[in-house]
Amino acid sequence: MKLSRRDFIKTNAIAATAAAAGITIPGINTAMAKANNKIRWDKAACRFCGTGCSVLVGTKDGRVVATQGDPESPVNRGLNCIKGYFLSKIMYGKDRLTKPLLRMTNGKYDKNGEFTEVSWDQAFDIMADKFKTALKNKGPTSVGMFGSGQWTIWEGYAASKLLKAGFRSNNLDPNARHCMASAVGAFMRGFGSDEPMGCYDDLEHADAFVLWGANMAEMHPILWSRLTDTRLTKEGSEVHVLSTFKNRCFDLSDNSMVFTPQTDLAIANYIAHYIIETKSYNKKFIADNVNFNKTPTDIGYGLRPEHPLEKKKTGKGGKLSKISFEEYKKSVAKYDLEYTSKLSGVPEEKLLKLAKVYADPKKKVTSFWTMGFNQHTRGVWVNGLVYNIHLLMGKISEPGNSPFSLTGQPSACGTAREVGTFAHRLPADLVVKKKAHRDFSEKVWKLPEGTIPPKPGYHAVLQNRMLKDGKLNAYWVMCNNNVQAAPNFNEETYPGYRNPENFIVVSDPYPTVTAIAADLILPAAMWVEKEGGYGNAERRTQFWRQQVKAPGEAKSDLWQLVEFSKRFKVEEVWPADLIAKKPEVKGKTLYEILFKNGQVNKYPKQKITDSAGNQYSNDEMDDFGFYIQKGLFEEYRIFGTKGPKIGHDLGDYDTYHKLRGLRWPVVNGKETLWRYREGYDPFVKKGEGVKFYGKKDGKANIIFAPFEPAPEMPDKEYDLWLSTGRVLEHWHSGSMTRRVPELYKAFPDAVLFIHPNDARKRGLRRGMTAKVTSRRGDILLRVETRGRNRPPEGLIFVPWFDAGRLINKLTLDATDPLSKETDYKKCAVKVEKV
Amino acid sequence: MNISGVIVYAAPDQADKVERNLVAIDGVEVHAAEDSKLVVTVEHKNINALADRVMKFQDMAGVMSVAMVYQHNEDLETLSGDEVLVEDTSSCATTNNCNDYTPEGAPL
Repeated sequence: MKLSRRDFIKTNAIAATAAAAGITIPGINTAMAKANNKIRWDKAACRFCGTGCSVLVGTKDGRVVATQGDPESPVNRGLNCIKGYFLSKIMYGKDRLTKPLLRMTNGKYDKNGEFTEVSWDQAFDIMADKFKTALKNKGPTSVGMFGSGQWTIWEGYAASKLLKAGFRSNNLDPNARHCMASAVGAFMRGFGSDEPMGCYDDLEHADAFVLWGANMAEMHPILWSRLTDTRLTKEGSEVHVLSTFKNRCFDLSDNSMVFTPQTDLAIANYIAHYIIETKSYNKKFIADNVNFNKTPTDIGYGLRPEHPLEKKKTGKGGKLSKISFEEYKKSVAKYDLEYTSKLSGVPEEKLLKLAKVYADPKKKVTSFWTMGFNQHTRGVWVNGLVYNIHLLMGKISEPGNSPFSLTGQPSACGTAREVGTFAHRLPADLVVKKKAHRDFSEKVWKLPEGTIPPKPGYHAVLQNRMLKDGKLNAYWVMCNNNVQAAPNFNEETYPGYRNPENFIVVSDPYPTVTAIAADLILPAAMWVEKEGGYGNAERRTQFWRQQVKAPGEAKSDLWQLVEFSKRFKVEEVWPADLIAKKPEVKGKTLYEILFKNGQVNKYPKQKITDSAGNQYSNDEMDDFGFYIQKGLFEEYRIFGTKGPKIGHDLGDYDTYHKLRGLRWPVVNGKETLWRYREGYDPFVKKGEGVKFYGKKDGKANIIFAPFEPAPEMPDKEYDLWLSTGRVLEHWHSGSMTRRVPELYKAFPDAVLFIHPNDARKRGLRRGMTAKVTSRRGDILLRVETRGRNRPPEGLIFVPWFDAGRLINKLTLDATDPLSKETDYKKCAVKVEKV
Repeated sequence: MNISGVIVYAAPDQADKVERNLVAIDGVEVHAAEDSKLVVTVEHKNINALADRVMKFQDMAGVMSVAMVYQHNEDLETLSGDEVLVEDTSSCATTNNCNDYTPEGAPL
């Protein structure tokens, strides 16, 4: 059969697209297309968001030449979003870093010097010297690290061991603090175990979807495509969208609600009130599975203690006190339809329509949320208020009934949360505060009792404050762009990095804003330049093999962490009495104690091959002489299989290389789709029905929390709300996507999304430049009054991907006092013509 | 020449309108439509235009979502003549976003 080349390619395109859409086109034969035998194809998890799409990576002559959506992936089923489509280009930006760079003057380190190429040896020499000096002068709390939800699982694990056990500092926090901490806080308070009970299968099982502050159409496009598919094909299905401004999700919405910032707290309480008032709640479920509680109120806004708002607060913390159902009923009674509608600005009939969906026992409801809830000074509260609704109705832990917290980073779950690279956490939901948890960790790590310090370290925002105050002096930033991402750049972040008392190291593939603010830059290998593993938002752990070599002298974060540990003799970091508890560590390096401990180095060097016999590199295995990724993962896995918190089991290392991921808990090789329910979750025994086994009594917590105002609201001078966020084309700070020409061209610079009336009032028109000012700084932006985001009067939206227009010069470093996560969605600004 | 396969999800009552608007764009063809899902190919001589085109789809009235599935990029000359069915697409090596379809999936 002869076909023109163009027809042949087009036929392939049609066949692949139709197959992914689930449509049969007569005459199109998918088997016609033949794999190109010169390209080696292998699977990998996408490098971008928390969806966890699987992509096929095509490699030829040591270079990634192609990627495509993986048709066998249960997550994305062959689909790709526009960013994932251009994945093959993210490693090949022209300004990839290939050598360590140290600020120097006349051949010597100088904080104000110029970046100069140095060898890895020189880089580690100065770095070790600075870390040792800080440890000697001020102790472990003067060293720290800012890590990542983009680290591979073993990179996060190695970092946790090096910091918490090696340096004995809990000053390790991930950028996931900025995106997921409130979700974690609510999971722990409500269920005693982190991460969603449901999974992406809920996208097909649900009858109704409610989006609470999640612009899925742009931020989780593949999940949105699945949701759209359900909405278009399932009779009676509906979509409810809540947001502080109109976005692309509103196009599909059956009930669109724009609410005044912060009033989501009231709306969620109104729904609970409606459910109780109409006696729609599930009495049996509540009696069997739920405890009622309230949380302390007026707890401040996580600002510096001397801030007037902190001095004014009357409550603190999150210690729960039990209440009766009647007391709970009384607490939510205030949030009736009239009050809530007035407060939120959402018309009564829309709120009622939303409440009815939740209250209808026959409708399966899945709620989605992301940063609108998490980046919130009452983030833990508001996450919990939606669990309250699902728990009242018993609409939880079964197909289609699912309160679902989505994630923004590829391994915010798999690495930051599950490995526990937070300042207060240890692997598998353990915490540093509990002695039993430290004891268990020390036992797994073969360390003397008392190695891990009990006091939580500095969290993300506090790290920047402590840098500025000169209390955190040797600091390593890895796999994130926190100078661009952190709030209040002018007053906290930048002064902290440039404080002469501090030595800042940044590991990154590219010269980001953060790298340029550092004293030493280490070139990093990225994505498929190393063997990796990520965990996505539905608890799915996915692995990939190293596909290509990193350019120049760039090295993976894992190599950097482990190699650096060789520079420290235990006597230089641990006190004599700790060493005396385990004399055999005497004279050893941290490398020998943490990584050559008989467990991590248990698996010898081997050939890495796939089932077709293709061979792959593993540069870290070559350098260290053992299969270090496998050794780290197998040691880490002990926390899930033998740890004090049940239900965190992972499968063995080799299994993950053979399939498209598994959702934990993984027991006897079987994954778990819905947690806490008999028949789905292996930890719920026959006859138990539903058991929230993260809590001792097996019951989940309904937690009442009231509406409280935001810390900084528009006033006469700063008369507009500022909300920040992302756009479809760019991922987070844009350090990868802005280096892909197609994506850069599609959305080159951040713009100011503003209502046409607000623009007109200020003498502005679309395309003009405006100055946006808060109490902390100002930037110039082009005015956009049309397009995908349409804010109401009184609110503006600005994306944060643009390194040339740093919106975090304006944001306030107010955090949720419980989760320590910043509220990037609310502060007060003014807009002027320039 | 760049050939792409894209799924466009239209609002239930607007699939016909979306299809008409899509095919009015030069190089865009709609090959099937079912349950408001359209199987679309996009041809363009300039590879950089792809993101632009797809973003245009996203902004069209009645379009709910767009998902990318397939992309192929190679020189125009290779495409002009008749050739046998199965052959090497060596130009993949020179451009790093040439996505060849592999129906068998990746070896594991």
